Amino acid sequence: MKGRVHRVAGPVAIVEFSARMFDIVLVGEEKLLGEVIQINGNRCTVQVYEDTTGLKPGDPVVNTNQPLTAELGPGLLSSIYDGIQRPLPALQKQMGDFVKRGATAPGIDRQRRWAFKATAKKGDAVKGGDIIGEVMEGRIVHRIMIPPDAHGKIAEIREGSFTVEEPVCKLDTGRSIAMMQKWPVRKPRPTGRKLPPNVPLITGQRIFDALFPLAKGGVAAIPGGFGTGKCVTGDTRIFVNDRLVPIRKAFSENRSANSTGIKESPGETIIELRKPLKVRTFDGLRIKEGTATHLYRGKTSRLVRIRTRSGRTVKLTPAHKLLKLSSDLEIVETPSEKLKPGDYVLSPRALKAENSYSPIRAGFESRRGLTLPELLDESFAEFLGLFMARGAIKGRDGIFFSSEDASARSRFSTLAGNLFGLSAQENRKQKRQAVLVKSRLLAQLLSSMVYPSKKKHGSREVPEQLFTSPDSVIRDFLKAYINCNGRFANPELEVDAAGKSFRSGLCYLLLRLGILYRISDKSAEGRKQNGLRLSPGEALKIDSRFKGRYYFSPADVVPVTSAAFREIACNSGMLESERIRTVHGKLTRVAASQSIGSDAGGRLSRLSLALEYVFCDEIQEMEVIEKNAEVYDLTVPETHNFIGGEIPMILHNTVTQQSLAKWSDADIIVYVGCGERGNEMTEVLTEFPKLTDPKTGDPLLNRTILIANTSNMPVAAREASIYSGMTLAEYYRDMGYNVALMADSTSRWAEAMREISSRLEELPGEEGYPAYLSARLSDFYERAGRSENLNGTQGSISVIGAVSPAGGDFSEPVTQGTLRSVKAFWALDTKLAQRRHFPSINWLTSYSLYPDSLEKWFAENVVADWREVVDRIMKLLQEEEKLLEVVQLVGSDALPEREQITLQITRLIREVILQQNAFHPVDTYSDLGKTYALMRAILRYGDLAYAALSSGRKLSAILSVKSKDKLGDLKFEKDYEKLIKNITKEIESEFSRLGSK
Amino acid sequence: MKEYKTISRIAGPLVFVRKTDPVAYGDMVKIMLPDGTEKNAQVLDTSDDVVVVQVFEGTSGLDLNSRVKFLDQPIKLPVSEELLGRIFSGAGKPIDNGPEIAAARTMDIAGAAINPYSRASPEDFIQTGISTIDAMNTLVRGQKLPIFSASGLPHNEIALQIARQAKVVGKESKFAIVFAAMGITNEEAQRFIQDFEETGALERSAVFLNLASDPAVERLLTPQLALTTAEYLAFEKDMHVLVILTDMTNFCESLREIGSAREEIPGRRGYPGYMYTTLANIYERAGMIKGKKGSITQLPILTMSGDDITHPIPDLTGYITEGQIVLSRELHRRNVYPPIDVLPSLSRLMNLGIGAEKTREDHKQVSDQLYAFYAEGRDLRGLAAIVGEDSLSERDRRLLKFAAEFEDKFARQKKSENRTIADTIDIGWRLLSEIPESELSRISPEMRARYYGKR
Repeated sequence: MKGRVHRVAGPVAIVEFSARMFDIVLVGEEKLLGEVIQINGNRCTVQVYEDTTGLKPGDPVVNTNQPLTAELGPGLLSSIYDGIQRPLPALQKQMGDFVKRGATAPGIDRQRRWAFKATAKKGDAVKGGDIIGEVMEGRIVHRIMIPPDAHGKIAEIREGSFTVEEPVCKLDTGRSIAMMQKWPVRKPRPTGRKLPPNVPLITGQRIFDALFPLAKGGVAAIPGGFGTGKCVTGDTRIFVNDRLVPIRKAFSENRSANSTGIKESPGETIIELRKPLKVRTFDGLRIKEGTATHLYRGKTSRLVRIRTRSGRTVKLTPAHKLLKLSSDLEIVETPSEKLKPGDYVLSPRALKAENSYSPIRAGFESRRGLTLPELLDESFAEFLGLFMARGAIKGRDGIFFSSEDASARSRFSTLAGNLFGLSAQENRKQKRQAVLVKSRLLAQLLSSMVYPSKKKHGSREVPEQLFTSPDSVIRDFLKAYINCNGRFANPELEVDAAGKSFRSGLCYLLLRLGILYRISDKSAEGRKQNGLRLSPGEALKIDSRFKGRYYFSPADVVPVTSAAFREIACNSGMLESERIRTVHGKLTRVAASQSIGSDAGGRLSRLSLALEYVFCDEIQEMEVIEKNAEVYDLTVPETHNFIGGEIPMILHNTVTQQSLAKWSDADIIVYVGCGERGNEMTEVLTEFPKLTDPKTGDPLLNRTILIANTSNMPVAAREASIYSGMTLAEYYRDMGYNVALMADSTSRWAEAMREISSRLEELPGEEGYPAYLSARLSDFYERAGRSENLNGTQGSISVIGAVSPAGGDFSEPVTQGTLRSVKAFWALDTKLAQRRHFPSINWLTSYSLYPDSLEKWFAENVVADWREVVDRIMKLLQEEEKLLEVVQLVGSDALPEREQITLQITRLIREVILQQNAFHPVDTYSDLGKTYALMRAILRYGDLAYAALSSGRKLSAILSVKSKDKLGDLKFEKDYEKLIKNITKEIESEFSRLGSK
Repeated sequence: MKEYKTISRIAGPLVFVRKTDPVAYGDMVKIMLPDGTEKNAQVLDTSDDVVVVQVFEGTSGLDLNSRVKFLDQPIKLPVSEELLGRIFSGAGKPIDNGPEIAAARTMDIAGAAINPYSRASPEDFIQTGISTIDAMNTLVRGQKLPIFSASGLPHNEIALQIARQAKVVGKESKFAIVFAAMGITNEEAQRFIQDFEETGALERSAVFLNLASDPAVERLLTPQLALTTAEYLAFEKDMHVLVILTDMTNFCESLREIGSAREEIPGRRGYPGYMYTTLANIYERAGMIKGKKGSITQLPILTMSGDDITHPIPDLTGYITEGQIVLSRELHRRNVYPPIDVLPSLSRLMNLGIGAEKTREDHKQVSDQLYAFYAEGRDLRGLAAIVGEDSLSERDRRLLKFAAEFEDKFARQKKSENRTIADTIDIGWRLLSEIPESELSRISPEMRARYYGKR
């Protein structure tokens, strides 16, 4: 059907022809996509999805006789589309970085071939929706269905590899069926009977499943996103505030001295720091100063131990990430359990710092007989280096320095004289040549610097003042130490450190200077030692006297695949015969040569910058340790990693947008970004591919479809984007999947409607929105639901719509219209997130209307009194709110005794039920049975406590019942059933003992 | 090319032409008056029966005998690097007595949306030399950060100062300024041009001037011309472009004028319902693109009528831009220049652009601390007015003094004063050093040890 343009004004054109409402038309020579939105006689109003400049009266208009359709078939998953299902990467390829007019790109790749497996056979009678075959779309079985409007008998069906357009099946009506079908987005796809929302969408999150459930096919509204962290073991040293301390110690120190809030729950403690800690962190290009805002302690039952080529060893939780260098030179955050031997992780090379001399605090006032230098300068450092290598404290009277080397002894004597005004005497100490410096004060000073923990030889530490000293001081310390305690063992320099923690300190000093080393636990002669090895090239950086053959450290290798290398080599004119595994120095030179223009070149030059600060360390051994352990973590808000470990490493801690990963029991996720800011959408598009699926460990993107339509893309496409997303969701529902649709944000969608309405010169309703706003909102949400599909499978679409009311005003029409349609509202609370209460759902402002319809399901499938238990929990939480108001005014001691018990119970509820650790392997998913058992056990404790009170027991005795605290650990146990019984018994017996006292 | 003498109606800035051959929407139009003057116009609505054109130079002098010529192409801007150093009218005609631009090519001024997939994330700090912006509401490359002002406030002065001083520290890169003035007075325009010429900023600037006396409709073109120039310089010539648009309120008024001349149904406060999209189409032409060296940073200025921040123009702008800088009449009255009120101001991208490697390690902490003390001090002013300063605690009096000092020493600076970020932070430290060290709770001990009392 052809027509002609009669009038053009803005995004609206009036076209002369006959059409149906919502037909898609191609306007003008450029075939701009438009949609009929009003009909007046033989003139139709068309909203055009693209800029209309250049259209004129008389231009041809073609009616496709089809409404706006979405293409449905294999290949949808992991796509990124604009509002009318044009793939953005394809548009970029076609038209460059700007979205220009008249571009078309098919929603589904026409070239790609899929292996089709028939499940129906010749002669089968089929109707719309019936499944005739399957295709594997990643891990998802993509079921090929007869289009809703077709029916007949299968005359022919073929198996094999096809594109989406090739017919795989012929019906006796003559119609051939390809894998791809089309469907108008504004029209709900037909389904069979709608099923009542009486099956919960099980999220494994206790607060949702128990208190605010969403039914499969339900609708919820939510505002925003939140995050959580990952951990290392307690003996892991971290470099904070220029000191090297075990994270466990940092935790206990800051807990008392530097916290504004401590959040404790069984198994987990979070400290919010009053003063942030200074840490060193890697931002992708360099290592810089960062701040840590929280400290965390939790539990795990599983650790991964990793040992690298340079000898670094670290134990972390399986979810903890390290920075891996992929073979195409990209830095990828990878959970430790996904690493394997042979992978390269980034380790720090240099911690650059501009320091001034550190003051020496002697810790004693009197200076009789001792001139005390005020600053730790080069000669003091040299003295310390000599002392730590070959010195010892002799009782309380003075210090020894023993060495066969006369020049070293004389140097030591000279330094003692220059620095402290003390004279040294030659002395033979057990047949060894030594010098003795008598001074009780000096002995005291050195022991306070070298043995901070006041113990014996094994616990020697590198004086912490050195970490904050200038490079020259550190270098002189190392020089002196190595001259006494190092030897060359073909061809490397081997340094023996006394004790593990001393070695760790040496490593950090070397790191300050950017000197690479390997850890060696055996000396060249095979003795066990806490040693370090430096290649001659690295040793030269400390002292030019360490001459040897110039030679690269074997630790300093950058992995490059041959393909990436070839690309780089071709671009830079380097010969292909160069070694494929190249070393850092060469790589930097390659990057420095100008001629690299390729992608790999960009990555290469970024990497070569970063290589100033880090190096690539190959994983040699990995081991999973099954044991219960305490684990710790720091929150570094900006870069999410910090330098730490006995031997320094870059430890990653992520704050991930978890809001979507939560809906993990939905099979498919559709995310519609509607009218967002361009720079914000960039964040979504870069962050999303990094999320991993908690179930499979695959990228979450593999079962996700993204739709992105920023605020300056055509308004009509923005309006359509929500429907496009819904249609894709319905298609997967029809296959029998449970789909979660996220719409972010429905407020921008409503604005698009407002704008088009005003173009149509409709009379505005409230705040300029069209009068049909709330009808459109509810129409959209109505397309959610659980249903029996035409092919007999059951599927559902659950919609989670984000609202962003202007100025937080919930009375505006969009929020009101949304709240009228949705039946669950999850109030995300940033305050809870800051207190690291996860998931950060406020239990007082959230609500769900599904518990009634789900009651039967829970009673039949979980336990008969589910609802009753949940209601009691909810009632207690509401009571807590009131009580806390009173406590604010008068303090908790003034509460009646019964109420004090109530607060005790609700604390348990909050910590055991509401909080959940998404990164604990067990706690991340709490099945309904466990959720119930936990609630039940807490209520049982409550009942006993109330009963004890009314039978006259003392409140203090009731409150101090110990065994209740064990409830908290339960959520981290896999086999909870028996444990719960035991603990409940324990609680019962403790209460009965109360009675007998 | 045909000429028509079929004008049927003239209403406000609109001319209705009948009985034409098909005319394309958005096309450029020339109207010849009987006395030989020429006016430019654009097709706003086209149909078989009548074509509506908006006349950029205003309709005075037009009559039914004027001849109308449709040029059969949309409005295009000839672009080349020669645009730099030149001054144009709001419709893109040179007004500096220089030659016409020898175009490298022409670009459609309507522009197109950047593919979200192609965008790169902004992260480079821009030093404007103005302390309250650099330290507290940092501008980063690729950001769009509007200045919310009101009539009588010196927003144009601030804009000029930013234009003169803006640079990215430590990076030698091609930097350019595109200045689009909409509806400003002749006096202000003179000031701009003079300033640009005196400081030499003109060499790296393209200036588009639409004066208050110029036709209001012409203003609708000005930001599009400016941004098209910016896109050319940024994405084809690898320049970092700062676009200053002043005053967006005048632009929106023109939009409303056209809307009401066309008898459209008005939305909020009479502004057309499509204003959100129109503004988004302007503001979203900021950003960076993966793999391209250049960037477009936008600094739109708008005056809020009646100082009302909930007015549709600032309201819709705030939805689209990444924060805002708010000027305060109160500060202006107290003779503080620039009168930037840091409390309601916000830069959403600030954290991407600051820190040890970009500005200074203590930047964030100092900014947080200044903000906290100043907010508290401002609150105390109200209290002090009621109970008297004497009945306040010592700490409170200190904060009151701090707020005053903050305005006097930190916020206030000379119009020619170009502070480096280090200077700015040091001034902050000087103010903070008046407060006992133990009270600086937002600043870590290390930073305090390094900077407190030492600047």
